[in-house]
Formats: sequence, structure tokens, C-alpha cells
Amino acid sequence: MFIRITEKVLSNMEKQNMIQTDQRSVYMYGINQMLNILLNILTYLVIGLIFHMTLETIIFTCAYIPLRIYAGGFHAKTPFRCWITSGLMLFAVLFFMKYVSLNAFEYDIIAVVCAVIILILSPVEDKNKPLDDKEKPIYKIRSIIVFSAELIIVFLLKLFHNDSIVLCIEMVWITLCTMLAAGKFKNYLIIKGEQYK
Amino acid sequence: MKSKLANFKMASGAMFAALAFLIAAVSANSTCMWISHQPELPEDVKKLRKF
Repeated sequence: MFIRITEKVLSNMEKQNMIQTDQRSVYMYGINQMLNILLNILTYLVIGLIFHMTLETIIFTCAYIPLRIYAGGFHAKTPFRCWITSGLMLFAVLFFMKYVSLNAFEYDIIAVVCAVIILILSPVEDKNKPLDDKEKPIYKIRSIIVFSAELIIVFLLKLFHNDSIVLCIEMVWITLCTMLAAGKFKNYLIIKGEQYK
Repeated sequence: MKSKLANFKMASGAMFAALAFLIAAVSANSTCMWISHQPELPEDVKKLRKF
């Protein structure tokens, strides 16, 4: 999405001898990702401000990313679609948290079911980032470790009756479960499509 | 004053480059960060995998 800006920044950095020319593709990738990340973070903060839930947005993002990077899940085809999907996803999460009135026990039950699904399905690969036989068990173990850490945090927060943060983390599990299921379904459709060719 | 500005530019440019490299390395060792689309990894980025 930021190819032109990235190329411009990269050529300036090469002129200043800040980067090695043989590593150009690495820096190109990194700078492009940085700009995408900045755009997404700004978008999420704006969405959080619209709902007057900036703190919940930050907690959700901080809890979601570590789990997502190892569990995988649905990926959009293009950076623009990814930006739209992620924004809509966060919008739906905050809307649900603010306007859908379920009690804590109901959230707990849904979160537990989603957590089990996460542990079964992860990691879910994508066409752009296929996982080889070496990566799959490592990502599985790492996603279990991150999930366990979040589970401990949830238990501790429940002891101190901090329900709003518990809700944020439970929404992470519910959201990730949805993304994993969507990713699995997308992969299934791709395989089916290839079989009929 | 000019040399201070030039030094600041170099230092911030180097930090920027280091951050870009770090993000590429994190990308090589993860599926998706969510806060960014994950395009297909170039071969040089794949070499940053730690396992």
C-alpha cells in the first residue's frame, strides 16, 4: 500500500549509506510493514475514541497481537482489505462490548469454548505465509504458552474483580476463534477449488 | 547548527533502518501481527527465520 513512499525512503537511505544494498529487500519489506502498522494503529485509536473506549482498544490490541502472531488465522488478500477487515473487526468487538449485555458468567462460557477451539485449531496458515512441518509444532507450542499466560492474567484479574480487562481478554479469545475458523474455511475452499481445476 | 542537524538526521535514519530490520525479522518468525497485512515474504526475509 505504501510502495512509492517506501521506495523513496529506501533510495534516500541508500544514498546516505545507512543500509547495505544486498539487504535491500529486507529493508523494503520492513519499511512497508512499518507504514502499514502505523496506519492500522492510528485507525484503531480513532475507532477506540469514537466508542470512548481507548483503554479497552489498547488492552485488546496488546492481548490480541501476541496470540495472533502464533495462532494465525484469516488473512485478507491485499493490505487495503486487511486494513478494512481489521478496522471492521475492532468496530464489531467494541460495539459488542458496549451494547450487548451478557453477564460475566455467559462471557466466561463463550470464552472457554472459544479457547478450546483456539487450542485445537492453531496454528492456521495462510497462502502468503505457509507453515512448514518445522514451524507448525513450534507455533502451536508458542500459541499455547501465550494463551496460558493470558489465562493466568484473567484468573488474577478475576480475583481482584477487574471485570472490564477480563472482558477485553475474553473478547480476544472470541475474536481469534472466529478468525481461526474463517482461516480454516478459506484454506478448505482453496483446496476444494484446486481439486476441481 | 547544520552539522548537528545532519548528525540528528543520520542517527534517526539509522534507528529507522534498525526498526525496519527488526519488523522484517519479527515477520519472518510469526504468522501475522494483525496490525499489518502480511505480504509474501521475500527470500532474504525468510533467511531471518530463527528455527
